[in-house]
Amino acid sequence: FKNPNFVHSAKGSGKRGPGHRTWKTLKQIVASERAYPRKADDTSYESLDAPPSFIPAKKYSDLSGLPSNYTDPQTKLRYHNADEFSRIKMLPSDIVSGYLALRKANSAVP
Amino acid sequence: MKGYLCYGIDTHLWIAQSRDDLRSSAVMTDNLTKFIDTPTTPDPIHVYEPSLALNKTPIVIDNGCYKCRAGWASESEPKLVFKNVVARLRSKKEKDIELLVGSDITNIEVVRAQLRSPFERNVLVHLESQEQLLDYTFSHLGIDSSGSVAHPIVMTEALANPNFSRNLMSELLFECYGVPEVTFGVDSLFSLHHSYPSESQMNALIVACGYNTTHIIPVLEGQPQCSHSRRINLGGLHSDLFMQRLLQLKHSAHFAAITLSRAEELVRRFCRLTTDFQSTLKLWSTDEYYNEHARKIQLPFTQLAEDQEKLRLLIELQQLQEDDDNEELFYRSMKQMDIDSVEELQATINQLNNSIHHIAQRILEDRQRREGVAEDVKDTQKRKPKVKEAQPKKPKIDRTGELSRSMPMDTSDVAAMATWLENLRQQRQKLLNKRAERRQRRTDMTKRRTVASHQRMKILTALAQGTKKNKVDTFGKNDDDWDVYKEINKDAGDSDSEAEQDKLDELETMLKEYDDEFKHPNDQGDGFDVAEYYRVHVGTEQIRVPEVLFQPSMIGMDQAGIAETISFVLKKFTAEEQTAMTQRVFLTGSCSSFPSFEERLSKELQEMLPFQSKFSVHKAQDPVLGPWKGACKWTASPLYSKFCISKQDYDEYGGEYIKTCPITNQYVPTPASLKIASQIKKEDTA
Repeated sequence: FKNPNFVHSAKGSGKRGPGHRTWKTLKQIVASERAYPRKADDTSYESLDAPPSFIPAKKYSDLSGLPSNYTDPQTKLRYHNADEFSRIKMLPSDIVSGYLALRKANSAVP
Repeated sequence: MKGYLCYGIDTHLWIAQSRDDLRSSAVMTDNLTKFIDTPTTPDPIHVYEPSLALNKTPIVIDNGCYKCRAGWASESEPKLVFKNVVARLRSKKEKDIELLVGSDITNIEVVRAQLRSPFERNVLVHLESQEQLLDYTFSHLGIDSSGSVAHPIVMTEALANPNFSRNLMSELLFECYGVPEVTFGVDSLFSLHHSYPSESQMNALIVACGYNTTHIIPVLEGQPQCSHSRRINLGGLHSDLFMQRLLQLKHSAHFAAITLSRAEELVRRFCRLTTDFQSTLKLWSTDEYYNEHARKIQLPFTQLAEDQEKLRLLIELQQLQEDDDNEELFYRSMKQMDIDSVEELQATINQLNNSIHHIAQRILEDRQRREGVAEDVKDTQKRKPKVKEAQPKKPKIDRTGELSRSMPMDTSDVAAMATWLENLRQQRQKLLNKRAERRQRRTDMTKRRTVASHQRMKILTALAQGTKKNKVDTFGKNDDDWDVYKEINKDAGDSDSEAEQDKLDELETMLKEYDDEFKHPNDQGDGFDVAEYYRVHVGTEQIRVPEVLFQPSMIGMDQAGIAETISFVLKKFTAEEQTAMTQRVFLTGSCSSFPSFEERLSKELQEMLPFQSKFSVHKAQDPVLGPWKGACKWTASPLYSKFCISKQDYDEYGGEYIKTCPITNQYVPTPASLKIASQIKKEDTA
């Protein structure tokens, strides 16, 4: 039920030879859209992005999700009470970095 | 678009199952369940009925990022519902590639790494897999005409879908499949059309929670206000991933057992939104509430449980043997168990005992490793190792003597005995602490960017500078100076010395003999609950995971949550328009199946709207299949034929062209100059 001779027009210039098709990523598509001259009220995929939040982010314990007032200075994990603090202390470092990565708080810059 | 498993069936299944569990075992409590792991069943290939071909019935495809729903517009339910993914399996020997599409994948976890979705976020980018998925769709619908699919197609696309991606899709449909007519609509607008088909001039505020994205779309007098809509790049996928990661980190021993599909299952089964997140969290902090509401999921732990069961039987058998009266019964049951002799019985028992002990030991070690570190919280905090106490340098026998000599001669003297025991205990604890601290330091040292290794580097640099400044080298005058080497040594000063181990052993034997309370750590194996170890606890995660939609900061996203974005969108309109729209806050998309989503949204709206303003929140009639059904309804409406794009339109205006109408995106043509430029480029390459 299909045309056997059909070839996608948008196959990118494959660096790894003609057999490999590279597709534009979403980022590239959005970037090329941005390049168009457009009127003020035209919508594009990019202009639809929700604004950043202005409400200060609430802090929750990394381990239990309970509201947290404390941060462990060493691992930078947040905790709810002393009991959790002692649990943080015994966490191996891969788990610690896992928790930090979860809320994208593991940047290289301290 | 982007649907989940049907909720009702799921919960029903679960209830049935948990009741079975209750009956089968008295230990199981209400909150204890198992993973269902629903297997996928391959889609059947449907029959292509002649009437369909004759009437040119439109094919409706709700092309969602999670699931694709496809079927004939004349029917009430989609014929096909499958996960919108393709798996490419490559066998190493032969160079052929096996393609698995949608529901052909029986266990998605096995091929997780080879999965390919045609979408990136909610935009179509990978047309090759889309082609494979369409092949799958059409062949399973039974279409057997050669050369082309002679049916109009109604397909969903993302809100503000980039022209580039629509262009590719039209190209695929018109040129590859030879489709006569195409309509592209926005899924949530179709869903609105499904719930309110007769009202063409309505006002509404659509909140569409999908798999990858959440959209807030204001609709005024039947016209979607695309330019004032907003998209939050957050959806069901993110809550699934969040759940998976949280549980994996909490139960690191079962890392591999907590798969994404299992996390999905948990999210669908147990997660709910709360009207007041903060106060509910406070409830969770008490132990009683936690014990009552936390869900425990039993992971399979076949080997150990089976072994234990068998061992129990065998021991019973052995007891039978000891009873002389029951000899006949004993031999009969021996035969049942496939055991020939008494010796073999004993051997099997021993073997089982060993293997159980071995597994329990492993689990215990894992636990102790953590607890050992925990005991040492304060010491590790200081980070500076204490100056090592002078080790008694007497030979071993001597020390034993010393220890037993310090023992009160009169064992009946309770007070003296108690202080002596206390002393022993303290000594042992001290040794254990020291060892744990050393181990911790050693692991810390091996990694960069830990405080311990920073400290080490600091000392090294200080030493390197200090030697140049001081002309008179006084290093070594003081005995403590040599401790520096201990500190910068990667092995953390000293290893677990033999002498220390000896002392520890000795202390333990002494304690074992005289202290009733003392229990050697290795003896705990008997009372260890293996089932408990293989249980995954879902506590606050039940409310924490869906909360991500309202507080994206929980997973480190800086975009605003649903409530804040709604208020942002509303502020772009006049007060009258705002009240008109909030009369119908329309909730759709698969994520809106979270229990009490409506209540939560009502509460948030009440907070953000002016005092005493009236509003109402409506859930879509069918949040998951709504877009598909709405699209079917659309094909029946008189507007349908007016707004679909024929092959002629495609040839004339290009692939990105659509006719703007209430269910479609706004058409923003690519500027002509750019189009010409790209055409020239195309011709050059051709």
